[in-house]
Amino acid sequence: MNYYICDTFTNRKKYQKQLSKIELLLANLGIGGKLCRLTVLKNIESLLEEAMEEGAENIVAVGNDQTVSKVANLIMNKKITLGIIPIGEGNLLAPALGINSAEEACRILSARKVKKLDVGQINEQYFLLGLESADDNIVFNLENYNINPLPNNEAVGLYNINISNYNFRSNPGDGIMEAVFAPKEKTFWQKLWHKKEESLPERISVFPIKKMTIKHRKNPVTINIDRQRTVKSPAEVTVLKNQLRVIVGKGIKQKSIAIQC
Amino acid sequence: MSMFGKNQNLENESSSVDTIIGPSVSVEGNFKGDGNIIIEGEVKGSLKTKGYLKASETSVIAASIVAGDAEIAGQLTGNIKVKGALEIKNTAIIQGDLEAQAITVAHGAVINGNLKMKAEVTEKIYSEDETKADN
Repeated sequence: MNYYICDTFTNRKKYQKQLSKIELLLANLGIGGKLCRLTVLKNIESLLEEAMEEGAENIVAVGNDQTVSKVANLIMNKKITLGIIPIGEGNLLAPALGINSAEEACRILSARKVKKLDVGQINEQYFLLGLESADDNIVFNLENYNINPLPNNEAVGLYNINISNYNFRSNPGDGIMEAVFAPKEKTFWQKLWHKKEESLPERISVFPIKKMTIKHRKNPVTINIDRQRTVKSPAEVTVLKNQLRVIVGKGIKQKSIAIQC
Repeated sequence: MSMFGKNQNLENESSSVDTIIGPSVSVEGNFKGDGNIIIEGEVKGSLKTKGYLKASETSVIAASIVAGDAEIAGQLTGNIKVKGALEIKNTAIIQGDLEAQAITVAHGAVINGNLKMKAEVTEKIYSEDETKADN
């Protein structure tokens, strides 16, 4: 049985027409199920509990990355397959999994190609996309070594799927996540100053990670989880290989590392 | 993950780079990897990989290195042991011993340390000399 969970923002008037269209398409494809809308009174926890009691096999998050992340967190370690119908803004995960529109998502759900994706665990929380921080005070402590970002970094992150603007390769099914340190772009004056030296463009740093502890040098740093929740350092991070069953499209995108020498 | 062969250019094999230690990070401790590594930043401690290691001009390494193949163009303080080919670029400044099967040193490179080629090769030369002397 399919259980469709529509996020609170989909109750807005501008999404009603699209939701009706999706409902009709799902019925035509023969994969109609129970459609639940989150409201102020109906939270996601109680809805999922209800779905599991009713024996739901597939739970489809109808909304954006935040909706998917919320649902994924609650169905971890349960025999449930996650589906995605992207609606609204802030959808980076769905295209990365080959789901480019809500209409396409319905056909993908019908085809039901399941892929097991890695899931990250930070303390007691799970994440699908990645962790991000803009604080240079952060330290990545691995089994035998530390990675310390220097003060010229713009962003620091750990990604399961490349949702950033940086060019690196990521595979959400290899049991490895990529720690990325992106330096700030040089200012006009810095570029002018270094022109004679013909210096290379500042390259991002990439490290494959399976397990680590996020620490800090002086003050605790704020870590953004899936761009929706935050946690303070120190925090234990583990990559759980192939932990979540997700219905995906045909072409899962994998960006590659660009070497600019 | 594919490995780099001798004299192969890292730029042509961009998809097989596993770790990039860029100029905006500093790594301290015993780094161990199986894949190919590019170093453009700071490394202190030790570095071990079965793959190819490329230390660019901007790299500042104070570590002992063990790698499959390597190319050094930056500053290295520490010994380096390479299973295959070691290429020292003209911008390299090395304080430490080098050991490899094959070593290429560009004009202008600074090396303060001992160079040791693969043991089997030197043993073979000695044994050939000995047989000639006996005859």
